[in-house]
Amino acid sequence: MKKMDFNCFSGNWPFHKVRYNTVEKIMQLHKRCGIEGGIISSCEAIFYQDPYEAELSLSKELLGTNYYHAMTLNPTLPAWRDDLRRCVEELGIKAVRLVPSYHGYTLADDVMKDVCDSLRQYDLPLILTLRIEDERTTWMINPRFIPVTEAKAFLETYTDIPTLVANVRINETADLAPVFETRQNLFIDTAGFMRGLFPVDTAYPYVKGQMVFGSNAPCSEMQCFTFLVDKSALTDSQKAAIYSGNGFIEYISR
Amino acid sequence: MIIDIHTHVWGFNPEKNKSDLLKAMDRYGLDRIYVSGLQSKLSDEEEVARLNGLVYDFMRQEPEKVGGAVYVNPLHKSTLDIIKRAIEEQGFEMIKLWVCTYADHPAVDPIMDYAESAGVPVLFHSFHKAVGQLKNETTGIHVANIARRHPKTKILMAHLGGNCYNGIPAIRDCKNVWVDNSGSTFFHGDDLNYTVEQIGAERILFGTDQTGSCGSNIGQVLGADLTREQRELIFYKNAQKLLDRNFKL
Repeated sequence: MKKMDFNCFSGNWPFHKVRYNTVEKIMQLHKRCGIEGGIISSCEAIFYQDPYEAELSLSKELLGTNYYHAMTLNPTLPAWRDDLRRCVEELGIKAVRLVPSYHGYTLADDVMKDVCDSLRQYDLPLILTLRIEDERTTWMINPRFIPVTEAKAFLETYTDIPTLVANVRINETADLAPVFETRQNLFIDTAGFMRGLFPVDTAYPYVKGQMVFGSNAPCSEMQCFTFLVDKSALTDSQKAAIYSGNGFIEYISR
Repeated sequence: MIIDIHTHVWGFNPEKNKSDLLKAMDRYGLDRIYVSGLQSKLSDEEEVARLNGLVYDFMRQEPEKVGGAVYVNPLHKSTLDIIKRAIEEQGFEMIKLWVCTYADHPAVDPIMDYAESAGVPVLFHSFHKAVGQLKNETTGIHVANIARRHPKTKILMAHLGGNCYNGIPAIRDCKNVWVDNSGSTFFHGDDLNYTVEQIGAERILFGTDQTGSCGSNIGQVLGADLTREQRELIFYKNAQKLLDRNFKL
């Protein structure tokens, strides 16, 4: 089965130099780890006032690659619906990423109903990103900390939207476990598993076959997570399923 | 070979910690770990003695695998006696300071003088935080201050300063300061590459902050743009050099 990274970025981060800041360079990092594809979002799309400019740049970088494009949607912007339409119709995006910690809304806001209606309309899965950086090591902007209760309530409300929850900490995984028991279209990635001696082993019982490989690269070091998965106590087939996306890949590639 | 220069036994659950540390050594291929005991942020004398006792027992149980860093509160009158006994009689190889005082508090000066004479490094917790900075929590600038007051004392600044973009520039010109990459945070993807560019691989030691984290720190070194020689320096050679009591500045 093909190894994939379901949570990575291309582009520059505003607060420090990013050495692997293009799709081509991310692919170099992936190649070192035997990863052959993935879902990429634009770092710059998080910060631009008109994020479509960043999405257009990313789509050009992705031409001819094995990678899928996840647009970053900011529902506080006036043209988000049209941006989404253009990203679907003109750029062929395969997923939508939300980064509420940077965009000044909560997952309980009324606009989330509209966002989820749009996801249904275009048959797109969601990547719900709880954080990009450790809250303690940010600079200049303090992104909002999203309580896991807020994420849990959202996931319990919009149960029909296939969702990957990205950059979840181990303790938060335990809090989200009841939702995973009731939803087969809900997934978690590995990019939040920094803490603890055996974090993949710790998280796995909570989510079982709904864990996928995600690195948050280049904002995080990719091999932190390949090493943790590879050295975990899971079986080879469980590890292979994590790298190949378990069921989440079905929602991306349809 | 891998030497983990920065691990802990916590006073809350020491036996489980010790067991977990040994399991992690086996799982991740660590050859030797250096352990300090921690519990309260402002430890009293009884706690300091108990924590160092836990580490000493661990060192005796696993002499090939476990080395010790003696933990002290610089504000205690007994601090120098505790350090001397630990270094000269019990085989501890390093001194560990956490958040009882800032690194550049005057009470730290006698510790630095002793460390210089004994040829042992002093490990300072160091973390610059955007949110949640602890009282008396040292950052890179505190480490730089004490390093300049004691240029012949070997200093190890933990966690790359917490946020490397704050901590590393602060100590960049202090040639008596080494750093470790321990920590259980979402470190930035470029942290180690940045640190190597700033101070060179010769001043970076491998550490984890176990039981907080471990495997991710190894992955961080494996993923950085390092030569084989640089990786060996970080994984163990720099630790061997820094801990060599005959290596003096």
